[in-house]
Amino acid sequence: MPNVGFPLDAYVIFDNNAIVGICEFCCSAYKDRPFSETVAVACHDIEEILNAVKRFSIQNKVFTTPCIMEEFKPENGELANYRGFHICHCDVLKANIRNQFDCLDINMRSIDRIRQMAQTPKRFGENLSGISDQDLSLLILALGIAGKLNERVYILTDEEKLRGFTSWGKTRPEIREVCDHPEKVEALHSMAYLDSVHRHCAITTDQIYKMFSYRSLQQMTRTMLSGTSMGEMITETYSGIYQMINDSSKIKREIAGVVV
Amino acid sequence: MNSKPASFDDFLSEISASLKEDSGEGSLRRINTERVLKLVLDDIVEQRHDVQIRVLNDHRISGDIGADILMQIDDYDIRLEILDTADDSCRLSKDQMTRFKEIFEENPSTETLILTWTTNDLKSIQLTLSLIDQMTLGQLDSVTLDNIDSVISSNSDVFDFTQKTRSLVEVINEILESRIKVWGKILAVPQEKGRTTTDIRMLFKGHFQTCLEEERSRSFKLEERKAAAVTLSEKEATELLNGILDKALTGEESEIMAKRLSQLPKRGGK
Repeated sequence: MPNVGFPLDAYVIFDNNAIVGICEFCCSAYKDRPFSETVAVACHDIEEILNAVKRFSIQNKVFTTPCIMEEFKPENGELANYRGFHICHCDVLKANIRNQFDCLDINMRSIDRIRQMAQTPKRFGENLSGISDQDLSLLILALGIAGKLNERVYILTDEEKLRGFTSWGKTRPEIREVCDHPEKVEALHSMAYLDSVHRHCAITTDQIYKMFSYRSLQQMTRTMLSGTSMGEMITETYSGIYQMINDSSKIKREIAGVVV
Repeated sequence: MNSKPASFDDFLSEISASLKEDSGEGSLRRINTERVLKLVLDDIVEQRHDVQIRVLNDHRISGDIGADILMQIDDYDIRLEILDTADDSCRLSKDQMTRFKEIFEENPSTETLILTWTTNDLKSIQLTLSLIDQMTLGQLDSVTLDNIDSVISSNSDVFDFTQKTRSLVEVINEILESRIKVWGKILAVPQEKGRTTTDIRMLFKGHFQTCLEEERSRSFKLEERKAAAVTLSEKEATELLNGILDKALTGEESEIMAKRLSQLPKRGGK
């Protein structure tokens, strides 16, 4: 039996970087067009990708927190370099994204409680200084849903520290005190999750290839600009991703019996 | 100086999990285990100033014949393999044993292989090559082992370690301590004048003899390696090492002795 990917029947919570990743990828496909047109067409593609995720998520919704929505500022990213860029078109994009998500408020005081957890690994810094309040708001929302509804919850984030902290934190007694089912919370890299959606044929192989290529290129450029010597590692990581997509395509062919 | 596991730092657990595990649930378990493991190893590297530790992705170093993680510690290696379990039980099959044996044979510097199951508390055990041999040959009934006692019946195809596992931190620290203890014992010899040299020599001789025997009885995949281990000239090696020990006891600088040791001909060479 092939591995068809992560179980998709879950609540899905998006981090800002995952939203930005999808937005920038969708806009990049039309970057030669006038900016207003780029945004208009990209909005349609973004909606399609999010709808693919919603097809499998519980209640057919995707969630985030208000502070993450506030943090979403596409004008501060790649889009600012686009031909004919204007902030008013970014506002259209922002409004479109807001409509796609259900924003659930959390008790921000819970963040301080998490920061006071004992014996946290040094990697996260003193009082979890390496993890932002926005990131922790996602974990609190996820724990809230999991605790109340006893259903699996995915946090889709490209922030490695948040993923690491989620895996570590959910085994801790402090978390078990406030959430009855912390084991139901999983944090995943957004691309890994989207590949699972791809394995379930809701995203085409061509589209996921393009998405990975775009993200790889971005990551490598960023690494080179920061002057680190991690190029080899990143190359290897992304060659792993390609292998994963190849496996996914093979699985899809086996399951569907058709060429995708 | 201990190096942080940079090459393992940003490793996307999701990728390896997706490629290695047969099910989505298994992938999730592996992802969580890899992340927590990474944090545990980070802290060990940070805390242990008495040994030099590098943590690497072993498949990057050794390819398919490697384990999941390689810990290079001073002059020896520990390899770590992650095993999936859905129900917190910790079992091994004979097929898995064969693969673990290959890891030892293909990576001779491996002191111990740690097996860590995908449980919340990272249940682990340590395996050595001789232990694998004893288990797969069904000789355990006559052997007393510190770490696994009599968990395995001689004809079993599945070995159950569930009751014998400990936390990963405990297992790693035990290995690190056991390597230091040998030298600790030597240093702990009573400093009575005139007897010190004799005691150290006796201890040294004992340990050296054990090492030689272990090397000879070790199983190798390549016949050439086995032959080299068996025909290792005990007399020559003993003379050389005794000479160096003499120098050490007279206060010779360690750098000079290290140079002499590094001039040893490669095994099988002239």
